[in-house]
Amino acid sequence: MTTDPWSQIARGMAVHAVTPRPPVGQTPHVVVHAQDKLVVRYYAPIPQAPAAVVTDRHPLVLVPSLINKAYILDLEPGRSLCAALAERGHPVYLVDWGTPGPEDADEGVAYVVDELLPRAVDRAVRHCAAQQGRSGDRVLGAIVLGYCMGGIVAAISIARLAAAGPHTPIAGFIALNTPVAFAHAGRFRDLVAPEHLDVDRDLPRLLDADGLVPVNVMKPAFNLLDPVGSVTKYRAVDAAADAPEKLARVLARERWLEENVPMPGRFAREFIAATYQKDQLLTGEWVIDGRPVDLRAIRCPTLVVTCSGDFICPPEAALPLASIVTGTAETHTLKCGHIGVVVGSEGPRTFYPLVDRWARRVPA
Amino acid sequence: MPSNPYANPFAGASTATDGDFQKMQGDLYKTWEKSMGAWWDQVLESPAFHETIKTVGPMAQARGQYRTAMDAALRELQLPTRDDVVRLTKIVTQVEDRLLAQEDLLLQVQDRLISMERETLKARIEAAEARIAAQASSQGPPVSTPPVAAAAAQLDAATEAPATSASARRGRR
Repeated sequence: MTTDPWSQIARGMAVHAVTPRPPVGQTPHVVVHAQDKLVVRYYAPIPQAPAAVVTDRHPLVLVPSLINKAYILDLEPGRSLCAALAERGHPVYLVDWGTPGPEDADEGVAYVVDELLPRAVDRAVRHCAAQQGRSGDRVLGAIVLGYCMGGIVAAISIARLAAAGPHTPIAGFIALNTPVAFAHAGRFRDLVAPEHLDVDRDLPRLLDADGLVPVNVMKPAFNLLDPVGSVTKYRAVDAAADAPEKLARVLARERWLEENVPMPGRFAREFIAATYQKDQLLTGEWVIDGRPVDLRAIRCPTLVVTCSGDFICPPEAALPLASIVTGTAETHTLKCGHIGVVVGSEGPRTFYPLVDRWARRVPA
Repeated sequence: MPSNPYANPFAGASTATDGDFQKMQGDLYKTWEKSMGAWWDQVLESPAFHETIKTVGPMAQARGQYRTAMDAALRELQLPTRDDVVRLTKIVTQVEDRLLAQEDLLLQVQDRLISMERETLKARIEAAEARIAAQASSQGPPVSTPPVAAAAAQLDAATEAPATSASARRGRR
């Protein structure tokens, strides 16, 4: 078999086109809360010993990006953040945003950060307390892990909950590849910079008839972020073609990349304008529903994780969060890419144990 | 026997290769990859590129025009249109929001009750202890009533509970 890159790409394309995609999101779980399209999936902790009952762990609430399927965090056996943390004894709650429909076109950022997410976290905390037999002051707050855009909405939500009063259901915050300094936010910023895109004039023209940013606009945009990678990835497919397990793994990741979720038009307009165009998250000038977003209000322990090979959220776009929050902050930069950190080999080797260790240290 | 869906369709194929040629192709590929990356950075900064991107819009608008025509046809047939379904969904979502707001209130009340229950219980015990102490000091000699029953009776009296004592209630079961 020839090993020249062009033939590998050609063969990879053929394999990619004809091979069925493997199942994803296979870890057993139950749905404990639902609102609108959102559901919260609960992955029970797996005790180390048969008789052991884990009652001293904070509920870990995982918040993926709104434009991706939630199963990225439970992709497949061995590459599942949900399963890995449950196996380490943590009660895990996955926020699945669902797929918006035309009825959601007018929902803005406020609906997500003030309505959907706080209630999802609240119900996860209550469910966990009931499982652990805790009540009143003994209830353990949640550790919220936000990934990419999920990290942004989680940060805003946590800051607003903290600003509202001293008693919040949040015990810790993990920001994974979460940009806050959008001047350094890489190629996506180039794509939607104000000199190229007027959100009020141009964005409505990109919306579909349902008022959503459709998948067929988003997917090419993401391909444009790494046009070379969207071709060279077929080499990886070819390299895995003779190993069924490896190929299934590559194609599970492909499935996730292929299955984007549309974004409500109003949310997209507000979000892109305030973040990628005006960089208002870092300066505290973003006003949502009449209230400014002040990330300094985040008082809980915070872990900022970035990836050196991330071109969607370069480390310099994410690391400033650690110096904004008021609580103790820790930073880690891993040697992998934006997606590889959760579904690549670096996930089980480095990232999953890092989250486990850090979560155990968060005080009650 | 079912065929393996992940089997490589090119398995077994062989191509004669030359080491130098392969190396040259590899070098060519690396050069291509590097120059493509650099070129793409330039493209992303080009105004012409961004103007072209915006032409995606008319495709979505064409779809919108098709939908408008379809809605008109459905109305003529007295069938619900997509907009009707959207309106209905919004109403259902609003009802759900109201129910969840009620659930929030109930949970807050439940939290408050749990907190109050603990405070009330503590106050009742303290009151009962105070009355027992006061009674013991006023009566002088030790009372013949068993201590637990006496404490329960005091607790009932302190909280204006029914006259039956805890021991009596236990006896009736």
